[in-house]
Amino acid sequence: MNAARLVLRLAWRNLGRNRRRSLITGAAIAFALFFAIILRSLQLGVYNHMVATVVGSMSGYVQVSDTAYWPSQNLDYALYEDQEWLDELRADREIASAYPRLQGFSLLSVGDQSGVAQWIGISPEEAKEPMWQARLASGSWNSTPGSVWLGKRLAEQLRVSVGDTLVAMGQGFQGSMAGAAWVVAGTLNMGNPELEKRSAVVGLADAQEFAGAYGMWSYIQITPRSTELSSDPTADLSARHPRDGAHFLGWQTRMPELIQMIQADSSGGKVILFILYVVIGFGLLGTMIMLANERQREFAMQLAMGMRRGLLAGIVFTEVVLLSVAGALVGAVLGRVAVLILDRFPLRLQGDVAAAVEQQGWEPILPPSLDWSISLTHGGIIVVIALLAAAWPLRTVFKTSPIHR
Amino acid sequence: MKRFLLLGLVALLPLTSVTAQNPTEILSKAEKSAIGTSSYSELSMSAKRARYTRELDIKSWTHTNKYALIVVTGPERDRGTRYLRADKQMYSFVPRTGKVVKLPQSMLMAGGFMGTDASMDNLLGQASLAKDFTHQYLGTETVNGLSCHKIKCTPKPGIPVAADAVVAWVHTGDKGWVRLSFQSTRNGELQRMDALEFGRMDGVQMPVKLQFSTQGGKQTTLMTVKVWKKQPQLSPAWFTPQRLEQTQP
Repeated sequence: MNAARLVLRLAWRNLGRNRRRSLITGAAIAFALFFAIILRSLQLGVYNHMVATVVGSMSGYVQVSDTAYWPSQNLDYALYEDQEWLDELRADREIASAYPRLQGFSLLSVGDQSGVAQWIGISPEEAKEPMWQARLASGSWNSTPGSVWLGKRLAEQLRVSVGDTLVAMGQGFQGSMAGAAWVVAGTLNMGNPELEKRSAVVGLADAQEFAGAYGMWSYIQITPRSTELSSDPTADLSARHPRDGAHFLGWQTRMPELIQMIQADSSGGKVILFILYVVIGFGLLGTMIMLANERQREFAMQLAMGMRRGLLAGIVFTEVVLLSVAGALVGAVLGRVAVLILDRFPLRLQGDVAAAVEQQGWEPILPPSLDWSISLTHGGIIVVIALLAAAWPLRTVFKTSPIHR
Repeated sequence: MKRFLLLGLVALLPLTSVTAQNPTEILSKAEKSAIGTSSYSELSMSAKRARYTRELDIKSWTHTNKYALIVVTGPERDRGTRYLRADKQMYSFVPRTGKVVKLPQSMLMAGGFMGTDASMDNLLGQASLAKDFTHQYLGTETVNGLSCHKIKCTPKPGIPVAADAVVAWVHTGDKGWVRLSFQSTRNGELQRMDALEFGRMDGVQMPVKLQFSTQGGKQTTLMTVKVWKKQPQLSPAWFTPQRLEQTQP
């Protein structure tokens, strides 16, 4: 029988010798991981949710624009239409959707009421997206030229409803005058009060005509397949689909304040996890010290009978590895199940908090992140902590004298 | 930004025989001939940008610094776009919409006029530099090759202007203002106007070529006065939304 198999076998048997201790240790590990996964999944999930609301639907996870477009978002820095390149982009397996848009600011007025709005020209295909379909508060998505869909609050402010005509005017492409009469075809729930107060959606062709930007796009809005916070496909996409004079910008670059907010909030969550790990870590250490003390006599005996210290240490170490991996597996499975349940039935905020969150522009739910990397990272951390705690019994193995006592 | 000051079209008028060293007097003399004169003018503007140059031709009627009607005659896409200012009311007409639209007052202060570096109130008439500002004489300086009085103008309390100060360089002779610099304590110079060439129009000495610069001189717009005539028959009653709708380019 070779040494490795012997070590494994003895370690397994040793675990069975004090089942209660093994169970407590394993449970502590599983429990810690379970909570770490839930906490972290919820926290990262909320960020995903936030980002999806703020950038996903509007400015896009990734944007392709003229190199001079950001940060001014000036209509003058538009890109020429390039259908071939767009088709190539859409064929990319990592891209869920890519839509060109033309965007700018104008004055909207009806009678004596007027307001400044950001108009967004979206392509007919984009208007068919469930996201836009679901946003309709009144009216319909027709394809009549000269139709405009207003943010709900903007429509209220201008006191218009479906069927009314409003006049839009402002600065067009490269200094020309933008002017048009548009018919309100619908109003939109944008999920964000700020957007509802200032957005006007029009057809891309209408927008180009309005601004005098014929054959131009302001930017191409790309939604990648994976929208997890941890992945940023911007550089990859940029390398695969280069375009002269244009660049790919991830939302992280365009909205540094959002990423900063997330980082600040995230470090708060990390502190809580750190405390959890410290508590669990000392719990484990306590169990390990207990284990070492209880088995000191046994160690001495074995050493006296000629067991090599290295082999004995290997056995103890293997015990801890087995225990922590098993605990981590159980914790990961339980955590995963809990996360899946939370994903199916997300926690919903209530009362004032919900109102405050809605004010800031997102639905008051706490959907968890389903990112596997959370389970892996925290599983890894807890196993490492358990192994560190194992240093105590290992020390005991090396310190115990076979003749003393 | 840039709401203030005299010297829109109205102020293309001459400052005659400025000899006094009193800054308020120097500016008052400038405005005396400016306010109270009604005019018709044809202007062409050329805005230089990094990627394009925008040409704009306009016709304009003004009465004092509170009434103005501007009609765009070119380029083709913008032909027929019109603006009216009647004291505190502002209106616009865009042919494609076929409607007269009342503009919020803030439009007067905000942004450039139709993609140029001139502001809306540069063209539609601005507050009085002599009356609405306090003055500080800063000596003489040579600007654009002309010897000038340098006067710092600070808006009086309650005057709604975006600039915290305006520095005016007024020719020591009879050419009038040579340079105006609209400044903000936070953002530095907001806009600068330079009178590059002077001429005589309908018997009146005035700058006929002007340059507007913004963003520290990175963007400039050249304006040429092609026609300028006195129109003494104009009165506030002439500047109505109906007039705006009916005046053809």
